[in-house]
Parts: sequence; C-alpha cells; structure tokens
Amino acid sequence: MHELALEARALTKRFGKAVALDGLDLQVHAGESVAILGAGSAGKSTALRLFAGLALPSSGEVLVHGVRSASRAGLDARGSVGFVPQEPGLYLWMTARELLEFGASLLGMNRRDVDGAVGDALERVGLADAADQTISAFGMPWRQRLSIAQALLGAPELMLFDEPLEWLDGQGQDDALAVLEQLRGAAAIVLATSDVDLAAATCERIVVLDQGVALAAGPATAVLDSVGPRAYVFELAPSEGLAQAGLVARLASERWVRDVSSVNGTLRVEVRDERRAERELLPAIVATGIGVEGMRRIRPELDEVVARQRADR
Amino acid sequence: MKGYRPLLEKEVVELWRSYRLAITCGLFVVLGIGVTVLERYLPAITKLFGQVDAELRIGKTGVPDLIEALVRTLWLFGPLAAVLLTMGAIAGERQSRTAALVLARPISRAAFVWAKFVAVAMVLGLATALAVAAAWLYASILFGGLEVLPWIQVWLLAWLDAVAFAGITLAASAAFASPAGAAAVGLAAFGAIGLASTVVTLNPWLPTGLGELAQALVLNELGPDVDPFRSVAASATLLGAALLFAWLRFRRVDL
Repeated sequence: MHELALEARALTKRFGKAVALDGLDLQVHAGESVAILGAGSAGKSTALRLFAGLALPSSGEVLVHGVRSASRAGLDARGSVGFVPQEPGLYLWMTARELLEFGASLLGMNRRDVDGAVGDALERVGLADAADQTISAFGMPWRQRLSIAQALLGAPELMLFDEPLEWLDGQGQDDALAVLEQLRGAAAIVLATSDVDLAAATCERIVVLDQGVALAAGPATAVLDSVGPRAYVFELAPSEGLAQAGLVARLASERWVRDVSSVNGTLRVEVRDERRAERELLPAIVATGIGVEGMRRIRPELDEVVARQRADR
Repeated sequence: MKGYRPLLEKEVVELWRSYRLAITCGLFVVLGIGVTVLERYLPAITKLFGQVDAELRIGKTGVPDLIEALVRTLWLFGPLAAVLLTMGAIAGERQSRTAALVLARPISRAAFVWAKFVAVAMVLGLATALAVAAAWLYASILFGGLEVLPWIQVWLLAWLDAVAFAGITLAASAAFASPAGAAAVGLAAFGAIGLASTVVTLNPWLPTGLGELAQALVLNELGPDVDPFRSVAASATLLGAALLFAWLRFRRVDL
C-alpha cells in the first residue's frame, strides 16, 4: 500500500471562463479521513469527480496510491477506490443484488467471492431484506444506501463520499455514520460536505473550500476552533433556583467564559477559550452538586467557518 | 479494453428486459413477411378495389419487385431502428448518472463505447436477419425455390447500412448530453445521406449505395459500373470514423 492514498497537485478545473477548482493541493495518507468542507458551489463535487477519474483536470494532476489517475495504471488503481456520488445513479431495472453483482464483475472479483461480498455490503447498509427488489421501487433514501453499498465492494482503500447523508432518512444516516466509523483507519476517506458537524465528527482533517479555493486545511479541531467562541448547552437536573443562580454567577466570573445564561433548566455557556472550557466547565458544574442530564456542543455554522477563513487570508 | 465483457452482458440483459430486443425483432419479422405477401398479392389487392389502371402498370409481380421492395423497406427501417436504439446509449447514461457509476470503476471508456455499439449491432443484426429470413421463406413458398446465398448477402449489406447509422448516432450520443440531440443528429444524417444519394455518382459511396448493390447481387445483375468493394469499404469507413469520433469525444467528457 502506498503511503499516500490520494494526492492532488495544483488541481484546477475550469468550465469555460468559470473556475470550479483553483490549484488545490491535497495529500491524504492511507487510513486518514479528510473532510472537504464548503457551501453548495464551492467545488467539492468537482474535486471528488476529479479524484474518482470521472473528469479531467484543466491543469494539475491527481495521484491515487502514487499512480497518476489519467494513466493506464491509474485505471487499474480505480479498483481500490469506492465513490459515493451526491446523487445516486443506479440501473433502475436491476434488483439491488444484481446491481452489486454487476459492480463486483466490473471490479473483476472472483465469482466465488461475489456472493459473500454482495451480502456483506447489503447487510452493512441495512438492505439485506430488499436485496431482490427492483431498484425502481426504492425511494431516494434506499437508493443512497445502495449507492454506498456498491462503493464498499472490494474493500476499497480509498473512499470518496460526496454529501453521503443528503438523501438518507434518520435510520439511514445512522447506518451511514456506522459505515464511516467502521471505515475509519481501515481506508482513507475523503468526505465532501457542507455539514460542519459531520465533518468534525468523522474526519481528522478539514479542508475549507470556497469558490474553488482551499482557504484552510488542518486538523478538524484547529480549523473549527479558529472560528471563534463556541457554546455548550447543558440540560440540568431539577435543583434549587439558588444553586443555579450561584452556578451562573460563578461561571460569569471566569475569564474564559464570554456569556452564560440559564432558562428552565437549560444552561448555555459561550466560551472564549475552548481548551479551558473543555478542562474546567463540566467539573465547575458538577462541583455545585447540580446533576447534568445532557450536554452538547454548538459548532460554528458553515458560513461562519468560511467567513473566518476568508478574513484570515 | 478493460471491463468489456461484463458491460456487454449488462447491455444485452438490458435490451432484453426493456423489450427493445423483442420489439425490434418482431417488427422486422413483420416487415419481412409483410413486404413479401404484399408484393405477391398486390395485383389481387388492387383488383379488389376495382379495375387495375393500365397507367399504374401493376401487372404480375415477381422476385425483382419483391427484392426492390424489401431493400427499400430495410434501408428505411434499419437506420430508423438504429437511431432509436442508439440515441440514449451514452447520453442516457450520462443523464441518469449511471455512466459515472460504471466509469468510477476500473473500466476503460473505450470498453464502455464498444460494448454499447456491439449490443446495438447484435440487435440490428438479429432483426435484419429475421426480416430477410422471413422474406426468403415466404418468397420461396409464394414465388418458388430461391438460392440462399444472395439473400445472406442482402442481410449483411442491410446490417452494415443499419450499423453505419448506429455508429453516427452513437457518436452524437457521446457528444451531446441529451438522447434527443443524438436522435436529431442521427435523423439529420439519414436525411442528408438520402438527399446525397440522389446524386448518381455519389450514391455508391454512401450506405444507400449498399441497397443498390444488394439488389444487383440477388438478381445477379452485377454490372461493370457496380463495385461491391467500393460501397462496402465506404460504409465501413464511415462506421469506423463514427466509432473513432465517439471514443475520442467520450474519453474527454466529464461525468
């Protein structure tokens, strides 16, 4: 296995005068997960199609496992790449099983291994019971599940996901997230998304893309923390109003807290210093003796992330 | 061409399940029988509607009339079937995004284009063979025993004519993202070649010239002015150029 699962060198794609992707440099190591975070027309899908060999760059190049994508050897290298497009394109006249068997035959899989691989892929996306149904009868959530299943065939070493949760229902999203979790470490993952939470939850590194330009790239926490103060929301167990008022007053006096409020047992704390908050916030609450029933971190919105990175350039 | 075989298998299954194979073959069988029966009984049919007008010169019809009618029919319906079968071959897969599903795998674009062409060519080959076989069978019954070899030559020439238009439409299907656009180009080519064929010196260089050749072969009227190699080579070259264009164009298409 090559050290770099994917490498993009000064990758540029133009459509006429419009520049969809402008000189993207990216290295994805084997087993690493990277999110390409950006808004609707940031160039994420274009980047993924270039990585998958479905489009030719205007300049620059893509290397998959150290092999130029546009070469004959690059064609072979696609056997170890799984691609989940934003909108699933499936042969509607096939059954789910037939589609995966066809996908396996395109990979040149051994006939003996096909049944097992197809069954496993269907199982992972929760479609085992619908294996022999015609795809035309599937709604979009099931089609997206099947699209993920076909990408999993052949245990790819590089997985490209383009907005994988977009068409999925709640259960489908849980299944897809479970698949992503299973893949982490086992395969390199490139995830194109506009969902900050998804990027932060599933990827180690984030590349922020805006109008085809990579504004920032780095560890997920560093990129998101650079945006500014974050907020934590706690659901507190019923307690004396005095105790809660004391907690609010105490937190408000901390320098690393920007703002704090408490309404109907919900405590919202906006922080200036993310690291101190992670270290001190929860112990500070627990020390008051008030029970904590739930906690969540409010992440920055995508436009906040992009605006911050634009300002930093 | 990496991945050609599974692609061709998929194409054949798709043609079968979508009923395109059965409908095309059924239509051509009906055409082969219909042309023969109509030619044989045309005088009787016209008599049913009254006295045969001497001006119409419908007397007793024979094998030459049948061959002329059969060639006219195959050289009309063959290209039309070719255009209809091929128009969505690549453009349709681009629209439905299934081309991306296939070509994200280690499959060459040449294999993709070639499998499409071979599948359509197989259907056209079978359909034209069935039409000619049906016509030969009925002609043997209605007009007496006929040699088989010239009819096989008619079939091969009709097939080449049809696949030439399939090649042109496939090239258009690779160039445009819309099946309707590809069909428009295929039909425009059919019209343009039909018009050009009215120029006597040009016709032997066109797929329409194959029809003239087919008639001459089956009626054993191959004169010194008819060069079988020229017409076949010209249509084969047109087909080859169309397929080459389809591949060159499609290999640079973004999916």
